[in-house]
Amino acid sequence: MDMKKQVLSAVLAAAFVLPIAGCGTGGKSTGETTTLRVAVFDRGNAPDGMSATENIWTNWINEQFGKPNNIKVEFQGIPRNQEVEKINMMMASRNAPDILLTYDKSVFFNYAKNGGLADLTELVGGTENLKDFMGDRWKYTTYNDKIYGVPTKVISEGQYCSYIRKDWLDKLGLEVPKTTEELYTALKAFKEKDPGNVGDGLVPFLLSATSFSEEYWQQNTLSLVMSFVEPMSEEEWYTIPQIQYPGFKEGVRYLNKLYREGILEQDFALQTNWNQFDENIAAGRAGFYTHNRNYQLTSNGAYAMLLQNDPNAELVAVDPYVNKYGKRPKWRGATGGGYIMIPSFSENIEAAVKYLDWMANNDVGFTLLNGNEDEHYKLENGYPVVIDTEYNNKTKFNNADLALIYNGFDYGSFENNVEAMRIAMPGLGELRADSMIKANSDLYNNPMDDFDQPIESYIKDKAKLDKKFQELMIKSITASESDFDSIYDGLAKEYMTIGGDEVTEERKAVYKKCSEADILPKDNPLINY
Amino acid sequence: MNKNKIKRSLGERTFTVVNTTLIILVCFTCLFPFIYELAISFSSGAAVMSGKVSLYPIGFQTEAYKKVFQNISMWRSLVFTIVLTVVYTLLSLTLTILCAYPLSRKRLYGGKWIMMLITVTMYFHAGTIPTYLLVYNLGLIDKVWALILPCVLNTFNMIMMRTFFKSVPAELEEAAMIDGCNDFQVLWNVMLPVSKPILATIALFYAVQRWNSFADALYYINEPKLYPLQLKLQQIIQQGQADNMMSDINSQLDVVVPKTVQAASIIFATVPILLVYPKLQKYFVKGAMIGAVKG
Repeated sequence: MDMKKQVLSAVLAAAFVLPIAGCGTGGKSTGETTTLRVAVFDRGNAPDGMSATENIWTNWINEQFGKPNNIKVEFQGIPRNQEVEKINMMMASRNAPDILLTYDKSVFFNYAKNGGLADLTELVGGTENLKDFMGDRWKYTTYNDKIYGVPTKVISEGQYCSYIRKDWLDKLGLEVPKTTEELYTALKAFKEKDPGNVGDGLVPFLLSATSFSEEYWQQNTLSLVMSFVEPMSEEEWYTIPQIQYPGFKEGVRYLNKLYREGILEQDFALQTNWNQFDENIAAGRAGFYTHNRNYQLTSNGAYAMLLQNDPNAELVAVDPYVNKYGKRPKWRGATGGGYIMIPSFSENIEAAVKYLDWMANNDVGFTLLNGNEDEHYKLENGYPVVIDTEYNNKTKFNNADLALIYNGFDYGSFENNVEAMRIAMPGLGELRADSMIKANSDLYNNPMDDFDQPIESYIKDKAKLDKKFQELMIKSITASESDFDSIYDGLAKEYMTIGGDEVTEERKAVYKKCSEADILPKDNPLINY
Repeated sequence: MNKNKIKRSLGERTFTVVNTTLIILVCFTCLFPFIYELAISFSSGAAVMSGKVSLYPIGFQTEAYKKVFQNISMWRSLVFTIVLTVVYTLLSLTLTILCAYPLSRKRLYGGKWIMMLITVTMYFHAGTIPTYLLVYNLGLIDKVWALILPCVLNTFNMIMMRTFFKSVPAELEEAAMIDGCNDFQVLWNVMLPVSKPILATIALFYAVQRWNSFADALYYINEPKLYPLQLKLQQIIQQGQADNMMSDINSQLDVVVPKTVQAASIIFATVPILLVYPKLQKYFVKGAMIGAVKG
């Protein structure tokens, strides 16, 4: 019987031992060459036979940069939408590539603060191209006077642009609106005369509650509301939350008026993603909207679908929100662009900086972004024009991601960059170039972006404050005329007690420090200097 | 009217009508997502984007399917996922049997304690990052084994199988032992032949679990060749949702996958399991019953 018991145990033991046979650490062969591991976004758009990590251009990089420097560049794909999860996982296990990219500012500052990132101050100082290439952008990746990462170079910083149905205006015999009042007249006419014969679904002014985020991501409303904000003192701008800015409430009141008159999207509060918004554009039910510059202006975006549904439709970029002082203030957007990080435990910190430095060479950047002349593009007035989009999608599908430090190519001046945009894309180029011009007037920053350190209390309470901000916007816009003040003031007060006050206090202290160190920009159209 | 038929009261008939209507409605709610995706996958992009499509295609096209079928990486993923599912299921089933059988016998010394230790893992998990660290330190990152070993034995499935084994009369076993069988022979010649329903059920549980999960692949796999179908699908769908962070300038380019192609991909990934499922469905029902009967 004892024997029997042993066999029975053996059966059980087999269940536990068998899986271990599958494990086994594959030893890494280390030769003379350094292996540099670089993360690249995998957007799942690789054509057959190639992948985001192995294609013509990763080979090209190894040929151009790798060979001469005796470095093997190995790419590691990161699914674009799981970037943060994956980075956290790899950082925690100290198994991250030598170069990582995130667009999430808090991820960057978190790791910088906790010692997860290499201090690059000295290495960057010694680079040939990279240091000057970024110019004053280094402030975006500086924490406690040390450089902990490499920003990306954003060419067009203006975030928002407005679009209106030109064909509707033409039918009504109206000009393209240049002021808030003219816009109101146009929208009112859209509502009353329905020039597109839309009927019930007509939405003169599109809005989705998705856009209400406290940290300046208010695609649909921020430009309008900010045109009501009165210029203030520098201290006010940098310390109080935006809902307390003089005039902010008037801006929201204006939205409330549009809502009550049926001009504003009536169902906006129910929308938690952009589906309905896009649908209204594509189906030709929308007269006007403000959103990210170039929003849905791609070859299969909502605008292209609108043109398929109605070939006579025409959207034009407009810039109607103007304040009393003739300014058209606009948000500069996420100023740092992406954040390129090198983990502190990386064994190839120097090689990593060298790689980025190599990339900062203009010729390298130009070729990497545009491909080869006469194969991928031909030059027109010195600007590249795509020859065949299909061909490019097959042969250089992720070059923009490989060109880590570039967020668009700089042709030397804003005008040149606009021109390049106009030429690059037949069809939509004109509208995109126009959007770029309109989005870049009178720019201002998110005040907290100008500080050289993150606001801890804000990071802590961000989710809570965000929610309260949303509630304030939605309830105020949908309020009746008589209730508006009490609702807005009540929620603004709640906002302050659940964390707004604490944030203000901390911002005051940080502002004082930054002001004394003289690091704040002096070109904000909303500050009385 | 047939005279032999029992005449049903008004109440009964009303009940049948109401009941049938309700059941049809419930069925429709379950079917609707499939019908919707199917309709979208055959509609024109403009119609889909304008929100006109719901039950049937508008602006019929088959371009989306052409795109999916021509995508070799989709086929590669499909084949890989099928192989993965089969290997995983066989391995899991074997280990589950090897674990459940001894634990179902009172003769096993310390069986209660072992059982308790195993049950603990059902309620307490190590957490994502420690698990990742373990997998990493075992050298499994970017290996097929990372998709098999961490979840190779499901405690719940094991307990269900153990419960079933327990319900097999001990006399059967004793008879075999008197004839000279050892434990392996008893398991192979006596237990398994009478346990076919539970084997089928558990196999199906494992197979469906493997087919549908993508989180482990997301964490442990960086090599696109080893992407299971669900991860591939997830990537396509997420890519379709335009990134609103403009600072990611690349997301403004034409990398967004049209909704029609997304829908076609969903159908592509769903059909294989849909084909298998109805044939095995009866075991699912049985499996639920087995779990409910205390041994």
